[in-house]
Amino acid sequence: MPELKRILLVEDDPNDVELTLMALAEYHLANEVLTLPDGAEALDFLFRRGKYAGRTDGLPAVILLDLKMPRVGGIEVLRQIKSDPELKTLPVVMLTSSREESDLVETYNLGANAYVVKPVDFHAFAEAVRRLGVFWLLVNEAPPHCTARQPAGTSSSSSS
Amino acid sequence: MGLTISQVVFTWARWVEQRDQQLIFEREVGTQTNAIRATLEAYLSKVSILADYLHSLPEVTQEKFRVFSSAMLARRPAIVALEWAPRVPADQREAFEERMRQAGFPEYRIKELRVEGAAIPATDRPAYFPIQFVEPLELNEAALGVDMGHRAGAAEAFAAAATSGELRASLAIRLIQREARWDGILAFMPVYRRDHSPDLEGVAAGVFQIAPMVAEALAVFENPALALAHAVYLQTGPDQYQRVAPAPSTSLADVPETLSRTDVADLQGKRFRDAVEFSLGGQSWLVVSEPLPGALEPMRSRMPLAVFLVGFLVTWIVAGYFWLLINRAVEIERTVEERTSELARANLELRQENAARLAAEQEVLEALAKEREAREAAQQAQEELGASEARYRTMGETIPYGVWLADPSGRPQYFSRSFLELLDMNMEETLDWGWTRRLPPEEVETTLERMREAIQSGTPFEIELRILGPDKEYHTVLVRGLPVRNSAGRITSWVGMNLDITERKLAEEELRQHRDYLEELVRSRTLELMIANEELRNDIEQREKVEEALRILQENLEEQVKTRTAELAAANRELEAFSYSVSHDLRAPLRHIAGFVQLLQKQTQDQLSESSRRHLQVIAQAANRMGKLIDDLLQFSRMGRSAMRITSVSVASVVEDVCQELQGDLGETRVEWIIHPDLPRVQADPALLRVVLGNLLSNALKYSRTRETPRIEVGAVDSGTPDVTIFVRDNGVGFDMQYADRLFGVFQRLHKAEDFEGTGIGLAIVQRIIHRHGGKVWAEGAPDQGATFYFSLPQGKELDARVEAHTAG
Repeated sequence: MPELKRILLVEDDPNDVELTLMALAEYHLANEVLTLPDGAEALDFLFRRGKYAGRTDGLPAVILLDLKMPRVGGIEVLRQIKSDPELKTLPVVMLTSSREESDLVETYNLGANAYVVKPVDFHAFAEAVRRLGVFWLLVNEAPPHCTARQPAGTSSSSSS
Repeated sequence: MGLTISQVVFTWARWVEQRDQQLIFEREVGTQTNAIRATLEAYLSKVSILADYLHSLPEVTQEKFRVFSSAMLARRPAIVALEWAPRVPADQREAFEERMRQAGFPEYRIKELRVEGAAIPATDRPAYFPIQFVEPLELNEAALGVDMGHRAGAAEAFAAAATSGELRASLAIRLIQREARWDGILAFMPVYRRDHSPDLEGVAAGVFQIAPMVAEALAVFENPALALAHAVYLQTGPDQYQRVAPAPSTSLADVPETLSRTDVADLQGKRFRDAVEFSLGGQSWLVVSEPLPGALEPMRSRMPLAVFLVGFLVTWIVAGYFWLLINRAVEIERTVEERTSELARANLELRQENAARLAAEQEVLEALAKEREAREAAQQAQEELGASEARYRTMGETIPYGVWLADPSGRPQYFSRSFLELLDMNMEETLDWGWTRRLPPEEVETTLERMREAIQSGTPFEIELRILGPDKEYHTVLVRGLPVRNSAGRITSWVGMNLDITERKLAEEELRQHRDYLEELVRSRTLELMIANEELRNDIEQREKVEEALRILQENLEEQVKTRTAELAAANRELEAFSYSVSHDLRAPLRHIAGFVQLLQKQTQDQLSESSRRHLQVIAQAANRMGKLIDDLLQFSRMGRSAMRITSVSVASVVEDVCQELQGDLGETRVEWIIHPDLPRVQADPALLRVVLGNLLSNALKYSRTRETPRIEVGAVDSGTPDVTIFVRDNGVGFDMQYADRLFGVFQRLHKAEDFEGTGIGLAIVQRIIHRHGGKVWAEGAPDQGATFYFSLPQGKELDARVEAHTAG
C-alpha cells in the first residue's frame, strides 16, 4: 500500500513543482506531497479511475491546485471535487500566478477554501507555501469523515 | 188667272232678289268706305309722325328731314310732299332768308300763295311759317318759302292745327305743283318747342292726293263681293259738300260736284246709291258710292224671268183649250176639267219647285251674309291694323330701339330712325338689302342665310348681327322678328325690333373677361396650390427619404454600435485573455527566474565572487521589479475594465480610511494632515474612489517625505458647477509645470527611481478612474514648491451622461 501523501499538489509546471517542493522542504514537508502533472490525472486519482483505479489509500488533507493547466484546468477539477458528496469537504487551496478577479470570484463561488497568488519573490513564495502546509496539515481540523487524518510523522495507514 | 199668278210670282221673285242685292250693296259700301277712311287716316297720321320726329330732333336739318321723309314717301305713293315750316319771327326774316339762300336755294324768299296760284313776297307780319324743307324737292321746289299761315285754301286748317295742337286737314286745294283741280289736301301738325313753351317751333305738313289714296284703299279688295265706284266730298259749308275726288269713268256721272244736305239724303234713299259721312283731320268727309257698271249683273238670277215665261205659255195653252171647247163642248168641258186639274197640279209643283229654289237662294244668301261678316271682320282688323300701324310707326320713330317692317319674304320696307342712324343710311339706301352693306363683309353671306332661314320658319326669331355704325365701330344688334298673319294664317308682313346691344355685349364681354380673369386667377392659384402641394409632397417625400435614410443610418449606427460593442466586448475578452495570460504566463517565468536565482544565491553563497553575487542580486531585483511592473500593469488594466457601481460616497470617510492605512506605513515620520471638514458626499464607485485617493495621498506622502514636516491637505473647491472638485496638496518636491501633461502617462515618471520608489502607474490609474467617472484630473506645481492634484467628479445626470459617454467611447 503506497504511503499516504497528505498534500496533493496539482501543477503542470515542473519549475513551480520544484520551487514548491523546495519551499516545503525547508519546513520538512516535502515528503508529504504527492504531485500530479495535470487536472485529468488529479481527477483520476481522486475518483480512483484510470491508472489510479483500485487505489486503496485515502484522500489528502489538502489539495494545492494550480489554475491554469493543460487538458483539464484547475477550475474544472475544483468543480468536480465540490460537486461530489464524498469529496466536497476536501480542502482545496487555489495556488496560482494570477491575481485575476474573475478567477478569484469563480473559484470562491465553486467552493475553494483558499486562493493564494504565487509571489515572484521566492522568499515570499516559500513563506506562503510553508504557511499553507502548516495551516492545512497542522492547524486546520479536517472534516470528520476525512480518511486522511493522521498526524505527521506517523507512517501507518488507515485500515479502510 | 194664270197670267196673274205668274205676274205675282215674277214680281215677288224680283223683289226678293233686289232686296238681297241692296243688302249686299249696303254692306259693301260700309266696308269699302271704312277702308277709305282708314287709308286716309293712315296717310294723315304721317304728318303726326313727322311732327313727332322733328320735335325729337335738337335741330331740324335738311338731311334729317330728307332721310325721314324719304322713308315715308317710299311707302306712301299718295303723298305729294312732306314739308317743314319753322316759325320765323319778323325780326329774323331776313337772316332766315339769307341763310336759306346760302344753303343752296338762291331764290329763297318768304312768300304768300294766293288763291289764283300766284306767289308774292309775304307782307309784314309778326311771324312767318315759311316752308324750309320739302320732300321730294323735285316738282315741289316752288313750295319753298311759302308761308303756311297764309297759304290759299289752307290757312284755316293751319290756324285750327296751331290752336288745337292736333292734326288738321285743309279743304281741297289746287296744288301748286299740279295742274288738275281738286288735286289734294294739306294736313298740318304743329311742332312745339322742346322746352314745352307754348310757342310753336314750326309746323309739319303733308300734301296728299285724294284719288290715289282711295285707289290704294280699294286695292285691298282683290275680289270684292260687289265692285263699287266712289266719289269723295268734303264739307265746305253748313249745307255744302264739294267733290275732291271723282269716281272713275262714268260712274256717278249724274251726281253733281257740289251737294247739299238734301242731295245727300236723297242719295242715301236711292237704291244702289249711298253716301257715308265721317270725320277726319277736323273735316267732314262724304263718300258717295254706287256699283260699278255691270257689277250687279253676275248677281242677277234668271228665275223671275223663267217664272214669267212659263206662266205666259201656260196661259196661252189654256186659252187655246177654251177655243176648242167652244167647238167641242162636252169633250172640251171634260178635257178642261182634266187640264185644269193638271194645271193645278203643275202649279202646285211649280210652286213647290219655286219654294225649293227660294230655300236654296236663302242658303246662298246666308252664305253670302256669312262671307260678308267675315269680310267685315277682316276689314275691321285691317282698320285696326291701320290704326295700330300708325301708332306703331309713331312709336317706332320715337323710341330708341330700331323698329323694322318687312314684307312676307323678309325684304325690309321700313326702318325706324334710330336704326337708320345706326346704319347711317336713308330709307332708300336700305332697300333691296342695301342695309347689308353695313354688315362685316365676311358675315354678309351667313347673316343673310340665317335671316332667310328664320323668315322661312315663319316663327318669331332672334338673330344677332354686327353693324358698322357711323362711329366706324361694329355694333352688336339683336334683331327680333315677329310674323304678322292675316285671318287665313298667311304671313302678310314681319315686324321686328333691333336692339343695339353693343354696350350690353361689351359689358358681357367685360364680364366675361373679368370672369375669365377670375377663372384664370383661380386656375393659376389652383396651379400654384398644386405646385405648392407638389412641392410640399416632394418636401414630405424628401423628408421621408431623409427620415428613411436617417432610420437606416440609425439602424446602421445601432448595428455599428452593436458591432462595435461586440468588437469591444471581443477586444475586452481578448484583453482579459491577454491580461490573464500575462498574469499567469509572464509571471511564472519571472517567478522561476527569481526563485532559482535565490536558490542559486543560497547554495553558492561562499563559492562565488563578490561581483558574481552582485550580478545574481541584480537579476533577482530585475525579476522582482518586472513582477511589480506586471502587477501594476494588470491593476491598471483592471481599473479600466472592472464594472462600476456608482453610489453616494463620503469623501471624508474615504480619506480618513486611506490616511489610517498610510499612517501604518509611516513609522516615526510625523505628517501634518489638513483635512477640510467640508468634504462632500459624491456619486462614485467607492472602491475606485478609494484607489484614487489612495494613490494621490500616497503620492503626496512619497514626494513630501523628504520634508521635515510633510504637510498634506485635502479639500474641496467650489467650482460653481454641479461638479465636485477635490484637491490633494502637498509641500513636497513639486514638479516643473512644463511636464505636467506627462504626469498621468503610464509608467511616466518625473523623478529618478532611486529617489522615489514606484513604477509610475499610480497617476495613470487615477486619471483612468476619474475619466471613467466622466471627470477631469489635473495638477499644479513647481519644483520644490509642492504640488496640488485636482480631480473633478460630475454629479447627477451629468455623471450618468458622462459615464455612459465614457463607457460607450
